[in-house]
Amino acid sequence: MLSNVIPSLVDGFRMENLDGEFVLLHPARDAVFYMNRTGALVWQLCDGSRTVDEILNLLSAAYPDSAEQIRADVPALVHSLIDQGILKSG
Amino acid sequence: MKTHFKHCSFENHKGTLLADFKITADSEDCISASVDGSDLFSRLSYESALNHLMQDVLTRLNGASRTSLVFHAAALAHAGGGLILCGRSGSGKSSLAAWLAASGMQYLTDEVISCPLNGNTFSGFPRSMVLKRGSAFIWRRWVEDANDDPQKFRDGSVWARPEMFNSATVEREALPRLLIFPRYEKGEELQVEKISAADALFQLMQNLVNARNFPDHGMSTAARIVQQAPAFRMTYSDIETATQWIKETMTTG
Amino acid sequence: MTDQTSNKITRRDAIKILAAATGAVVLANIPDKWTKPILEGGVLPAHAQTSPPPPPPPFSIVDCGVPDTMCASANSLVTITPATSGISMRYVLTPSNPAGTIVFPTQLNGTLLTDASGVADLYIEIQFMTFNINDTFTVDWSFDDPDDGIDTCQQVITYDGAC
Repeated sequence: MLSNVIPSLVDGFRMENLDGEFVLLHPARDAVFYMNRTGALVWQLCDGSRTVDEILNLLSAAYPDSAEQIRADVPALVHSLIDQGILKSG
Repeated sequence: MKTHFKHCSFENHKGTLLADFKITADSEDCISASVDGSDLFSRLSYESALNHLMQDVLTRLNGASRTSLVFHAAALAHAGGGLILCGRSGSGKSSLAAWLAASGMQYLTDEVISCPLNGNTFSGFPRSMVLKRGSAFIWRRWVEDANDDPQKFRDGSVWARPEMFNSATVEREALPRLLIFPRYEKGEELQVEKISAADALFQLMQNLVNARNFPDHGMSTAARIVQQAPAFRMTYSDIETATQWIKETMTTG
Repeated sequence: MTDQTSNKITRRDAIKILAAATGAVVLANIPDKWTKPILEGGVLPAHAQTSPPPPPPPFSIVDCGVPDTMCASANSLVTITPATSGISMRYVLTPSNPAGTIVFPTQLNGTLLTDASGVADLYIEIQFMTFNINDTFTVDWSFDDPDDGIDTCQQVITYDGAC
């Protein structure tokens, strides 16, 4: 369960913010990633100061009409970000 | 090789000597080459030797560039603006480039573009167009002078000098006006989707062949390029339809 | 944990926290509605490489003999490198005089396998007196499977009648 995990950013990335969307580059891994605006928003909230549950609450409050969708989307994205080595889980 | 690189030398431009090739031919089909005194290949057929030399020269040029970003892309110019067709081998960029050149656009390259760290224009590597077996219909359709044959290879590919295509001329540099990431898909209708600058940057970075030459892997310069021109993802099978869309978009913006 | 991230947080406060977390100077930089997050990953290309280099064919033809003369029979030998047995080599035998009789090979177009020295040997035998002096026999060698190699080689053998 991700609820109580406090995800944080992995070091070593370079980033470009273009209109709220992000491109991340990890030179040592030769890896490049693209995130749309909501993806980038979640990634930025994963700064080591909040649990996933707290991020869910925050986003649900900001986008109340999409609260149900957010409950499905955010854990899936955080999972992917951890799997891809963009976030760490503790 | 002189024939197929003849547009690649810039007058009055004195660069650094990167490599000194020595090519020897024991017979027409037994060619050897060395670079800076080290063997590059030996006893290859004429065709294999040409292919290896083309590849080796390009790899050396790409790797040596430290003041320009080099992208795997074809490029043309039209009505004062530059078109960049960016994609890996098999994406259909070379076929599109040849057809566009034949239909009146100025040819910059079918393989790599060079974008200086400082400056807004880009240039191309205007070697002969390399058309694979599946693209033979292009030169058969457009090369009007039957005596002006391209270099044909046994695997069905050809190298065609850009001037062999009727109205094609070679352009040195252009300002980016349109950035397309093509994908050839047999039987597909033309699909064109505008993509965001960040998505374009993501795609572009995957085609930046000398990223490791730059402290930031060239990302800040690449970000500038995607902000200069709108970007589209294009899936096509019919080359004429794709060409028509590109030319209209280049003209009307 | 210092944010007000309980379930009771107001929308206004939530947006303020989002703005602070993302460094947004104006709230317009925060997405105005929720869309499915997208994450895509890719890799930088191999350094300096564009189109992949042509894969070197595994075998090439060293030679297939110099021009030769024959009377009743001859051998056309093709040699490949690296020397490998069992590689199928295609020959096409073309006599300049189609009226003459070739006893062997029975097919003018066929294949032969290389031996351990990398040599394929085509034995040619003609019927005596059915050819004229200086008639030629051209043997064109190639790899039967282009994946083995793309080289070709030609040998011309001239009938000299000196039996």
